[in-house]
Amino acid sequence: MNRTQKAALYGLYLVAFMLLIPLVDLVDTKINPILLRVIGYPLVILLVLPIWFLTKKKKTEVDMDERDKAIIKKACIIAVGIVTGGLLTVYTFFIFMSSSDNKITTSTLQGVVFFAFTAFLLVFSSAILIQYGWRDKDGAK
Amino acid sequence: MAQNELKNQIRRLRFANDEMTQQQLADKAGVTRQTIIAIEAGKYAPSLPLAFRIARAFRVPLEAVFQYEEEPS
Repeated sequence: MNRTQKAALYGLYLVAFMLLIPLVDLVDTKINPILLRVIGYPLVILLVLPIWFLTKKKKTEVDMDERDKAIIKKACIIAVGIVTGGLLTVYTFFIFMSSSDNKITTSTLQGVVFFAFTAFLLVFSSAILIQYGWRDKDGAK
Repeated sequence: MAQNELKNQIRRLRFANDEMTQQQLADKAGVTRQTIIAIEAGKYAPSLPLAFRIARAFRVPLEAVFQYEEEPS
């Protein structure tokens, strides 16, 4: 597994964490702040720890080449396309569903931005892993 | 419509060159081993500079490594 694949896996790992945030909010809004710290600090460490593995570089090996760049570029195009399409759909939905004053709350806007960022990370990371997956299936000899 | 296919002799040339490993070829060409695997399997068409670097690693002309074939479908 090369550096790009590890970064993509870390992206999926981040998405899982980001999906936990609204889940915690849904489950219980009155969590004890001390308990939140006890749970929260190890979670932050778990979130940051993989960065060390990602930045660790072997001096002798090439960690990125033209094929990796092509895969990243394609994944970026796919992610931008899907997220832009998704955002247009969401905004169209809001236009039709909103009341006559055409206003949406700031919390809704924050939610849309959060959704867009999470969706981008999810699609981008998945696209990278899928591209590596189907290209390298029987190549190792 | 004709189908274009890029064939290569990398595997044969590696074994002809003292059984050169994919990693050794990757180091000489300045790419990752995964890219050599993908090129060897015909799943990735390298850029022209990379194709020249691979040919240079075997000390053979480009045509000895890569062959472009046009197959009528």
